[in-house]
Order: sequence, then structure tokens, then C-alpha cells
Amino acid sequence: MKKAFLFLAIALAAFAQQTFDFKTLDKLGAKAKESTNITLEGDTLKLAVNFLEADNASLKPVVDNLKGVYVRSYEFDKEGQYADADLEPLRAYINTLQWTKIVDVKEDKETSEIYVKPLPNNRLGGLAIIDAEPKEVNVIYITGDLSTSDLAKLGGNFGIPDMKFLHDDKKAGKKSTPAR
Amino acid sequence: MALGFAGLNFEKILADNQSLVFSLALRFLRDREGAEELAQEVFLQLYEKLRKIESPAHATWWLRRAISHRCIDEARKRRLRPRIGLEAVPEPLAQTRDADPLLSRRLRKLVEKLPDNARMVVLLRYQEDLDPMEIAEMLNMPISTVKSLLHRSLAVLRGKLEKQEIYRKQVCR
Amino acid sequence: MSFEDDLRKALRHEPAPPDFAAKVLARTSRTPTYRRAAVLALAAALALAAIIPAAVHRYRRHQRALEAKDQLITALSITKVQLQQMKEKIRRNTRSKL
Repeated sequence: MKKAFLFLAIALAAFAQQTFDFKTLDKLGAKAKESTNITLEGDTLKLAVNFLEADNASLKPVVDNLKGVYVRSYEFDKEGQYADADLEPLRAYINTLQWTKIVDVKEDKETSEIYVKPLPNNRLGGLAIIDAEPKEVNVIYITGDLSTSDLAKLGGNFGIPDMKFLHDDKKAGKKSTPAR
Repeated sequence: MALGFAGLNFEKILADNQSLVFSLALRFLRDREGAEELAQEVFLQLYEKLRKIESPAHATWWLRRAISHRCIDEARKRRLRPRIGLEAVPEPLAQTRDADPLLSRRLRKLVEKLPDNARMVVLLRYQEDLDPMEIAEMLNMPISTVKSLLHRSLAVLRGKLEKQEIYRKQVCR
Repeated sequence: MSFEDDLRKALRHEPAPPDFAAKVLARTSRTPTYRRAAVLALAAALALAAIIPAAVHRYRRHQRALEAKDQLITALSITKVQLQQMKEKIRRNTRSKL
């Protein structure tokens, strides 16, 4: 009986990993003045990775094992143009995956969250960032096999200043969760 | 006086749009003589097609589109410089040593160093005030590519400008 | 003034050379006709290329790949910026509690 229950739990967890529909987040941007919607998975992601690696071999460790990349980024003219409740399905989905919330900052009317799926040897099986501000909301969801040091290596690329905090904090064994 | 189908006056169109066309060419090609020559050719092309132009606004749209495409083709032909990805824009230290403190001039120089497609998209957005959809239609580019180029270019320009500011502050201490 | 406003200001139109209009008008009286033939030849060559399915398919796949690559770079750029902003927020939040 216990074995059957365990098998069902594993099966449900595996099924859950495939069921979030990112199109449900599109309603966040219904009144956005500017939006960026990116959904890269399967063959399209493989094509992108191959082309990117051809241009820049140093990105290979970062992108080689990506399985899915989803971005929803919306900018609004004024406050109150989206409902935080529309982010709840994603939060609930991430909870079912039992990812670890390593950042949870609430500042004025802004909420910032980072979730990771930790793997052994300083690796991550997934990264989710939810940043909700009064006139802007950014959702990033990446799955695959990536290392925290490879993420930090993105520094210097795309013209964006170097950043090591994710790698450094994990190395020091600290969680980046501030005291509330 | 050359008149188009809608009674458009070519000389007026020329007077109203010469700065627009010349500026786009100059900032894209970074070569004054070449920009003037290309700008002239584009007006000559317009002159040949004047009967198909419906209004002054249509003429402006047509000229923008023509000069954008001609600039990109010209750059390809000339192979002005090796293809530089956005992640490899050279350090601006030499520029700040030339001691040009004016923000606008620094920004223009930074824009000049962007790769061809990114440079044209930035010029159409911030010089010509076109929105991303209009730019996508003008350059026959997917809108996601336009937005991606704008996003990345702004990040590069901001980053490079910030580095210049830090360097200048250090030098001026 | 925002960065984008600074950029707009920097990219205001540069005036065309004083004799630009005069040069263009001088050339309108002798517009070359060879260009039309070249354009027609180019159009014919492009039309011919367009009816070759394999070439079209390869081109479209290439375009899709380029677009996907651009999207991936954008996604990674946005991720970097967001992580940097998170770091700043955490720092501010931590300082305010000390």
C-alpha cells in the first residue's frame, strides 16, 4: 500500500512539472503599454542554444542544458493595471514542485521573490523570479541544469555589469533571505 | 517644379525631410561623405516614384524606410568593421581621455559602436520616435527581435555610460 | 530627465549640408535609367529563388533560429538585470533593519 502511494506521489510530481501553462500569465499584460513575452522550449530552444553557442562559446555551460525559458515582462502606464492574484497560479505551481524560496522581499508596494530547485554540487534544476512593482511586473522561469557559478558568469555579457551574488552567497552557505 | 500624384511638391518634400534622411545615414554609416551621397540617392529614388506618393506623411515614411534599408545594405557592402556582438563593445576609456564631457556627444559615439541592426533600431526609436511595431514593419523584422535589440542596446549604452562616468570621476579627483 | 530622454536629445536631427537640396535638384534633371533595369533583374532573381522550396525552408528555419536566439539573449539579459535588482533590494532591506 505504501509503495503504491509513493509511486502515485512521484507520478503526480512528475506530471505537475509539465502542466503549468504560461499563457495564463498573459492576462497580466492585458493593459500593459510595453510587454515582452518569451517562451522557449523543445526544438526552438535547441535552435536558439546552437546559434548562441556558435556566436559565443563561453555561454555554452550556461545554456547547454536549458529545458525551458519563459519570460513575461510588462510595463504599465499607471498603478493598479494588473492583479497580484494573477500571479498566484504560478506561485501555487512552484509550491507543488517544492522549490526553495531563497528571496522574499517586500518593500513599499514591491514584492520580489526568487525560487530555486537545488541540486547537488552547487547546481540548480530551475530558477524562478517574480518581481511585482506597481507599474511593472517581471516573471522569469527557467528549467534545466544550471550552476550558480555559470549564472554569475553571465556578467560581462550583454553589456550588463558583472554580478556574483548568487554564486557568492551559495558558496558562503548563506540564504539571501533578508530578516523581516 | 515636380509634382506627384497628389500634387505633392518634391522641393518641399526635400526641404522638409533632408535633415531626417541625412541624420539617419550619417549616424548609421558614420561617414559624412557617404551619408550625403546615400541621402541624395534616396531622394532621387523618391523623385522617380513621386507619382506613387500619396501625401507628405507617406513621403516621410517612404524616405525613412528607403534610407534605413539602403544604409544596412551599404554597411554590408562596405563591411565597415568586423561583426561585434553586444557583449564585446570595446571599452570607452580612450574616448574619455579625449575629454569630451558632453553627454549627448558621448551617447552618439556609443550608439555608433552598436552592431548594425541594433544601431538602426535605436536610431529609428530614439531619433525618429517610431514605436517597435513601426520599426518591425519598416525593417521587415519580427517585433520580438526589435524589442530584444532595443532592450539589449539600452542595457549596453547605460552600462558603458556608467563605466565612463565612474572613470571620469576617478580621473577628475 | 530619463536615460531615454537623454538619448532622444543626443539623436536630434543633424542639419543636412547647406547645398544638399541644390545638389539633389541638380541631379533630378539627369536621373539614370540603368537603375530600373538592375532593380528588375534583382526582382526576377529573387522571384526565382522564392520558388525553390528547399531554399525557402532553410531560410525560414534560419530566421526562426535567429529570432529564437535573440529571444534567448533577451531572456538571459532580463534575468541578469532582475537578479542585480534583487541584490540591491536585499541590501537596502537589510540596511534599513540594522
